[in-house]
Amino acid sequence: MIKVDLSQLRFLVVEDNAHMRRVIRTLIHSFGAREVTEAEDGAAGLELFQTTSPDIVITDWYMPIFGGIELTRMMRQPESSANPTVPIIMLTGHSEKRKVMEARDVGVTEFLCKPISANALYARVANCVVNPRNFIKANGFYGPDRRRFANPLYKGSERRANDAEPAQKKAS
Amino acid sequence: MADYEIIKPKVDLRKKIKILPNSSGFDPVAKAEEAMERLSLNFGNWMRDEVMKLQISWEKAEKTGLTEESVDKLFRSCHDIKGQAHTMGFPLAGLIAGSMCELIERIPDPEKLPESLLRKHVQAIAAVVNENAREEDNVVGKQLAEQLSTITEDYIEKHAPADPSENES
Repeated sequence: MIKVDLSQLRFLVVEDNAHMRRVIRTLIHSFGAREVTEAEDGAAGLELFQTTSPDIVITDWYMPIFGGIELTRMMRQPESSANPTVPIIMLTGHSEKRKVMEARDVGVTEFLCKPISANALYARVANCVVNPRNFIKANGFYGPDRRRFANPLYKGSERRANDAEPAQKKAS
Repeated sequence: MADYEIIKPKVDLRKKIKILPNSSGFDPVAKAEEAMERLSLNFGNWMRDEVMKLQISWEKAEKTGLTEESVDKLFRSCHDIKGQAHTMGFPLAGLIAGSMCELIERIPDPEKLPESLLRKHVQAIAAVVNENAREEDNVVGKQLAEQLSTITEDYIEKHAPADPSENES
């Protein structure tokens, strides 16, 4: 396990249940982070996201007003979001394949099924900061590149439409 | 021309962190587990709070009947228990709450939800938490969870609309 000094990172935790917020905050502080802001629903979470510019967002899926999926969608809006490439870790009790795909398709960076463990949450946080992925902006999608690894030995056909064209636009 | 754009993350978090050598003596996961151990002194009371919320939601649902609004509140309560019961040392309560969530999710029409089966779930969760049945192999609690799960699965099979995920590869 890679050990990372996270003391300079700012976290935003969006979770409607006060007890779970306390659990998540305790874990993140123990990992070494100092600054943890909390919101109890998606709307408050979005407001805090826009005003505090956190480095990592940890959000629950199912919340009142609007949930983690809607929140992610709004944070990934390139025109209006304070940081559309922020790493987002989605916590949920849903482990069904279609739910995981739904989260991926709105641009979630990491997916963590409850029950939460210190080890699982740390692994996802560390992965977000140590192995950041580029983002893909395409028709109907804005989110981290779904290809986590580039396989130089891959010899199959290119599945990304028009990828045969080498001239990819790169923006910083 | 490519129909997509590759964008580098706006903030490079690698510049804000430091990779620590193994010799640093800092073990974030062990530290977090110790903190959770200290926090766990509260877990019994927290779970009892959650059970109370569930019971209040249930009492309201019984008074008003099973409507979209009352079922939504009920679902939120049991979903909270499903999500945190295992972390808080009540895995059986989490299993029963999971079965209740499944029932509500798979039977979207509140009028078709079986009131007695929902009541049994609420009573079972309350019993497991109030009796402090924390072990996963607690004989009575395990039987209760298994029986409720079986009855729920049967009910869903007979009454639920087809689950779209079953057609996924």
